[in-house]
Amino acid sequence: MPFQVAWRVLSHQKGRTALAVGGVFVATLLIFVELGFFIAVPQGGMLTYDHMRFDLLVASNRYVFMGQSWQFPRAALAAAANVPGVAAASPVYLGDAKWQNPEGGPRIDVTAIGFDPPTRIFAVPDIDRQTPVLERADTMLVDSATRSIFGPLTTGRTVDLNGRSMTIGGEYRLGTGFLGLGVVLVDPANFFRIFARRSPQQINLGLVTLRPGADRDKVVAALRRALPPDVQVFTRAGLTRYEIAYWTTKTATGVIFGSGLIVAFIVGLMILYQTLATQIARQLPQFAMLKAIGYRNRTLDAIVLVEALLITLGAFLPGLGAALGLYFLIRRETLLPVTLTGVELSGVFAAAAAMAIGSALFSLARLRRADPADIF
Amino acid sequence: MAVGREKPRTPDLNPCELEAPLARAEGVNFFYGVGDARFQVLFDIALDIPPGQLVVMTGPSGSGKTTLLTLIGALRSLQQGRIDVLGHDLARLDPAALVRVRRHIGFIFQMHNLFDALSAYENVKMALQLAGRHSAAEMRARGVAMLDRLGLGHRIDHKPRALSGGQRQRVAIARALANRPKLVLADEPTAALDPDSTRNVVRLFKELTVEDGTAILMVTHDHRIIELADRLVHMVDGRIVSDVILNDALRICEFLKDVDAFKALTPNELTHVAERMRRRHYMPDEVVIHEGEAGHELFLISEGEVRIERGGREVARLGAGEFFGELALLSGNPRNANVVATQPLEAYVLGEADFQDALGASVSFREQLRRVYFLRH
Repeated sequence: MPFQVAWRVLSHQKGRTALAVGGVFVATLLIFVELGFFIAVPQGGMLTYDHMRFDLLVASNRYVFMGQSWQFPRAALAAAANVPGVAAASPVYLGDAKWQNPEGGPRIDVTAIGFDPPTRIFAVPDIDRQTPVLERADTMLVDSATRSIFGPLTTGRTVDLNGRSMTIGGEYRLGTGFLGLGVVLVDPANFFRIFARRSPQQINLGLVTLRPGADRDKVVAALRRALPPDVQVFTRAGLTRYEIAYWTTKTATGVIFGSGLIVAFIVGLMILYQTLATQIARQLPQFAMLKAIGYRNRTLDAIVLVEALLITLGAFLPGLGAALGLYFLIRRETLLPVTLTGVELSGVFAAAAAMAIGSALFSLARLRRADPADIF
Repeated sequence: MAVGREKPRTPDLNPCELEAPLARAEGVNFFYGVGDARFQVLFDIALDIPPGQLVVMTGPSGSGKTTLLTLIGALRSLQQGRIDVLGHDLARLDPAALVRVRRHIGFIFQMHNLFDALSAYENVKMALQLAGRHSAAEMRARGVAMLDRLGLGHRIDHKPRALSGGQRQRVAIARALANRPKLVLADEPTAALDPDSTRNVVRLFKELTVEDGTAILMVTHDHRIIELADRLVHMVDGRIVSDVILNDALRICEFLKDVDAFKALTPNELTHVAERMRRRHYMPDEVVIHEGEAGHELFLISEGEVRIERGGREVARLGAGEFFGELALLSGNPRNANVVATQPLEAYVLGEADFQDALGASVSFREQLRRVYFLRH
């Protein structure tokens, strides 16, 4: 009975219902997108790591995130290489250079990653393939996700990095993540040409790979014993937790998308509440009549709840479709891992259900005002 | 409670039977507001509504009719006094139980309160579903039959917007009556109806009281209903100022119960007599019985007074509740006295054949009459 009445009331007032469904659709879509970002953006910190070959990361104790990693002595990494179970320990150099197009224009910050090509720390075929290019003097590879303000990324074009003329030797696609608007790859020789004042004895990251069959936890413990106290060791999982915690709690990212999530939820809640409250106010005498002839409060509550759920469901499915489309666009543009996981889907569904139930509960106070004694 | 069950037919409803009332109010006071703003709208209301009666309640607006209706309908909490509805003392019921009692009452509201979104039948179904024991097909059959009965057979699947005001009101009436409730409470149910529909609706009400023994308490000023009412309760300023039985048989019953000679009769016998009595009026000084004529009728004084004259001399005066004319009927002799009205007289008259029937039917009645006969002679 509640379902039938709810359905008929909604289908009777098509205009109002469409408005409500539209509003909740927008709210649901917003929740999808905000939640997508909320989950994906912190993972942006792992974007580059995700395409690197390593089992353990050695970094300075002051390590904040990849773009702010501080430095530690290369000797420490050499010591790590001698720890039993370690197959290789490869240094990574990171630095911010000023990019200047030869045609002029502003000097733009670009992140340079220096690594030794034979260490093959990137699991990116395009990078492997272009190893000979990297080894050329004053040559670099550019991430094709580098923004257009850096000018065309045409192979052979020469630009100015920290005052040194560098040739674009080719492109690869990895995504710049939180490293900035542009990223270039160079070999150590070229890296220290760009950053002439930096000492090759100070490195930013050390990528450790384990021998097959080595016990990771034991190696981690051994590394911690062997390495100086101003250096720390991350497992991949530990690094992921560290990065996500940093982007979620220490930066505005979590607040921005988290609050967006809450606002979207409240907007949906208010739209639903408004719809239900108007609906109840218009039909108060009918509801009072139902009470008078012997319907219990819970039956009337059920009518309102079913209305809320129907509207929400009607909005959720198209919201899901639109969100999938948007996710695709965001993924293509930012290379952020914005995907619909089971967790997200059930999260948004739970939020939508909470919206429906919450709004119904709020509007029940109005329903209680239906006094059967008033209708005679 | 047997409401809504397959029509419990009690075709020969007995107006003299002392059936338990379906609704009874006793010593009911009711106040609106609190503190200084508190004012009383009902004063010591006592009202019995037995099965089969169409009781019409009249009175100026603000006289408390609707409040009383909502109290009897278990729509409002009782403050003082006692109300029993369908065998339940309302004051003792918790809210959930009150809701259950309401399911057995047919409510007809002044406003039809139909759901815009639902068709005529679906609105009626809202009530049918409460009975909770009909299949979809049965409900449809019942709902359609009731709508059809109210002249809406061609409008069953129309929504209220497509119906006239009177049609909507009839849908509301169908909703109230579809479960065949034992008790119907109605507030101006015919206000929106045209004369034809009103006649139709009133016939239906009447039919329910006679065939199902439904009790109907209705606030109305519609004369077409009052004419058919069994009882007329008039309220002024929160008090019942008159409670008049309009149905002759009922009225005579009430009257006969207080007459000594009839006290011993069973309700059935009383009904038998009451239904055969006719009301007759006489002007002051009009002669009711002429001495020497053959006697064919028994007279029972309901109002007024007569004097008995024998040989031109007054021998006795009889008043309300007393009867005369039995002698000639019992003995077969001519009338032995003149009977003259001294005031406007209203009497119930029983013909000879019916009188003999009553005598034959009841030993006690015969003995009562004999006793009176010997006392008078």
